[in-house]
Amino acid sequence: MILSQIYDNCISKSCIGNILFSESYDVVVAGLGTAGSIAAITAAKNNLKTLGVERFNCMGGTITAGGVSGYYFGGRGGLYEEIDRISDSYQGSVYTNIRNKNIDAKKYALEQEALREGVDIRLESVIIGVYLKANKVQGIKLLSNGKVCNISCRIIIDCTGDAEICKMAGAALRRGRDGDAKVMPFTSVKNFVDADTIERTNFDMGRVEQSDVEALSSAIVKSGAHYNEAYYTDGKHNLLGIMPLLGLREGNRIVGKATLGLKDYLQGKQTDRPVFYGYADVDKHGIDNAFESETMIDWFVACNLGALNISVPVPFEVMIPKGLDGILAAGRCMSFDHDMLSCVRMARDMQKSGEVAATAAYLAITRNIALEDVSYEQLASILRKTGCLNDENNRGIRFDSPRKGFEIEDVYWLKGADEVKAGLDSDCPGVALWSCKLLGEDIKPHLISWMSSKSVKLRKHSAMALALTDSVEGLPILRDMIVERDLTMLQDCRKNNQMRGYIAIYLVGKLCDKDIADELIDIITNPNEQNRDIYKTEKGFKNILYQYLSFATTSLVRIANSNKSLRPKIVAALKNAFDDEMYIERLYTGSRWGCDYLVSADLKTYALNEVKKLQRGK
Amino acid sequence: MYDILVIGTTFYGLGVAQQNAKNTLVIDRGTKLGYEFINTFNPGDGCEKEKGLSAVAAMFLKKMKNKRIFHENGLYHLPALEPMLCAWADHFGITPYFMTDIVSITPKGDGFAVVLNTVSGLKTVMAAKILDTTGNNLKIKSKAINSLLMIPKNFSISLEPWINGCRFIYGALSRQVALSLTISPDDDWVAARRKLHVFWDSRPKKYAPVTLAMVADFFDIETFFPKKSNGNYIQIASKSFGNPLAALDAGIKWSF
Repeated sequence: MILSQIYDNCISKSCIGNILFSESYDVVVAGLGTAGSIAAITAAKNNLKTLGVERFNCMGGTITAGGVSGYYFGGRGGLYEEIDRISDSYQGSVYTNIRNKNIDAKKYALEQEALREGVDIRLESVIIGVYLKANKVQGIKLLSNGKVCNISCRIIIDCTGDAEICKMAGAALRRGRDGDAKVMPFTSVKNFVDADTIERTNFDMGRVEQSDVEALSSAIVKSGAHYNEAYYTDGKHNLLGIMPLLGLREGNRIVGKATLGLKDYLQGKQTDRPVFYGYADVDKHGIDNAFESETMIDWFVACNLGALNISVPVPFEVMIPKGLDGILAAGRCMSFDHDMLSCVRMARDMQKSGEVAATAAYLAITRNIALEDVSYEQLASILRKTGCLNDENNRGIRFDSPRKGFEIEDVYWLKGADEVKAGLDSDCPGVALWSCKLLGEDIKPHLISWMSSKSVKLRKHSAMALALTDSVEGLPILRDMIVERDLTMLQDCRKNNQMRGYIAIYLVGKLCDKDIADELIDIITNPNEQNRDIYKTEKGFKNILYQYLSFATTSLVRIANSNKSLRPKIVAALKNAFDDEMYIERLYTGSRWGCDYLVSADLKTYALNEVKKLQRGK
Repeated sequence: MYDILVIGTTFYGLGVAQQNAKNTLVIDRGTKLGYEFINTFNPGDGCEKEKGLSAVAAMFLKKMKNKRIFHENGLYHLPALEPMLCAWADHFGITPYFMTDIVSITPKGDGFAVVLNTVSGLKTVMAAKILDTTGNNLKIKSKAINSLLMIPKNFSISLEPWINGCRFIYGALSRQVALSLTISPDDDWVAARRKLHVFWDSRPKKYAPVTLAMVADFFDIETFFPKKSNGNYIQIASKSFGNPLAALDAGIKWSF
């Protein structure tokens, strides 16, 4: 038997002899947060002897202790809806009736339901070790009420959000985006009394390595300090409290039997054996779009489709860590890539994932089979009965909004030249742009001819579309857009609309256009850049200037990598621009902590790292 | 080797840490500062004596008054104290280990080897002294679960406790009232929330419009013996100092 633990973020395995387990369970659910609370209740409902372990003193995780109590998209149906009905029934009678879910009502409803089904709930408890025989989970070492005990189990469902137990068991993990492993920013939620109800507001505070105790603790203290405003009441809004759990959007993710990626999804590679559907826009947080993947930038920036909702069929295999037996991941640590996680991490869908994991555990245990051998048909059949898997949640691609009264628009990629032309010749060219990307060579002749159009929109958007198909014919127009600092905001989306000027910068970089290098160098090195009219309306953090600087920087790096003759000039420019931190002061003058400062400082780190690589000739 | 390991990110614990932040490690299993007062919605005796305060504590009181967190009537706008305390801790370079539990404490040499479970995994730290400010290992005199109430604007009935073990605590702002419900010392969170829910669900009809706005994340605990010493392992319950400022000041003045 192996005891696997983590010491100072390193896995430590020790061979131990016979171990006496003081208790035995069918299923241990690690983390009783958004996914875990539903997993534990589902497991117990299926007559599995279930232990639920939670570090905090309540169930619910982000939707209770984190204060993110309202729903943002996600799919309806499943066990969580029953619990919401119970929780909602307490609002107004016992707990304050609020616009979103009352977190205390939800905590109570989850607990009572878990108790009713027979879950052994251990709050303020943590798992400090995993027992394995070869690669099969045998049990856990639990710290609870100041005491350590060993507990056997057949299956662990890791709902810790950070794949802590999978990590402990030696699973391979991924973290953040491919280029720099950075995760999405976390948020901090503040509750306040507004008239006779409770409202909340949240603020993206920065990024944090949540498995670094000093970094996480510092983030918590600084987040709290951020709310150190002059006064806490204006007579109408009184501060009620800061939520104890940071709104962590992303942490470690397992390398699963399958991995769900955004690029594959957008190329039409989708499973026909879903266990639930994720539904939301690609809700990427963080303004440093220039450092995302090419797929993400193409979608979110160049085609301006950040608020276009997609329906994602999620297969069971994303919950099974490769190389391990007897353990599943549910919640945001499932095997998604960073891009796809932005979409499928919504509370409704995370709760569904808990139900799926527990249902699969039930089938594996009652049929005495490995998790990877669970029959899809049997699993899907149970999930359809509860509504967790519901094909009506496969809503395709559509413009949608959480606000009532919004007119939903179903989207189908364009195929014909006339409809593409009409789309490009508008303020909302996003669907047409992505359609051109899919059509590729077939649409290219039309795009080239449209670049001679009298319509400015059609000319410019055709040039953009050509770049998206990796064609260089649109470069002259793109260069002009950069020189003029084209400040037109595309209008496709209800949020996150992007500006043509820096879209053009991204696209010329994609094509490694050497002829624009001098202009891009001017953008990053000329201290007068910030005085242009385009940036003058910006108050506080100059987001548009940041986008110009960051895309210019990343494009210059691409150009330098493809054009050896330009490397010395570009290297000199990058050093000139980022050797000190004067550029940060052009962006804003706030505190040296928080999202705005951190992304600004990261630009220097990126630039100087790339300088080193370019100097080494790599 | 840390000079001192402080258990509990309490007002008292933070005051002690402020003396020597670099050589003091403060740990807590939660994620809050000053929770024993702030997050129980109970400011204690609320009696803020300016005379005799340390310079640091006197400055803290001045800031509280300037920000209207502490009012002339002796009442607190407690939720507002948290951000101020976070800024204060950050200013003094106090970075605790949150979400940290103690696995074991073993005497070693002149101090202790302490195995902690943190979000980074297990860690062993050495400390010359251990100061537990939580009161968790002292005998409990009383335990309560508290909740801020939502009192509608048009509600004019005065809140009066109707059974023993129920009382109301007033804050500085209008309609800022917390309910405090006494529970058994053995009650865990599941039992406590159930008792609170059942209690409030069966409140007198005249209080029907008043609802639970935010249930406290920490128990409100009084201990019989607020101080206990065993060589270099000392237990001093922060709550026993009566109010946040007194606890902070006592920590600042605590002698190694």
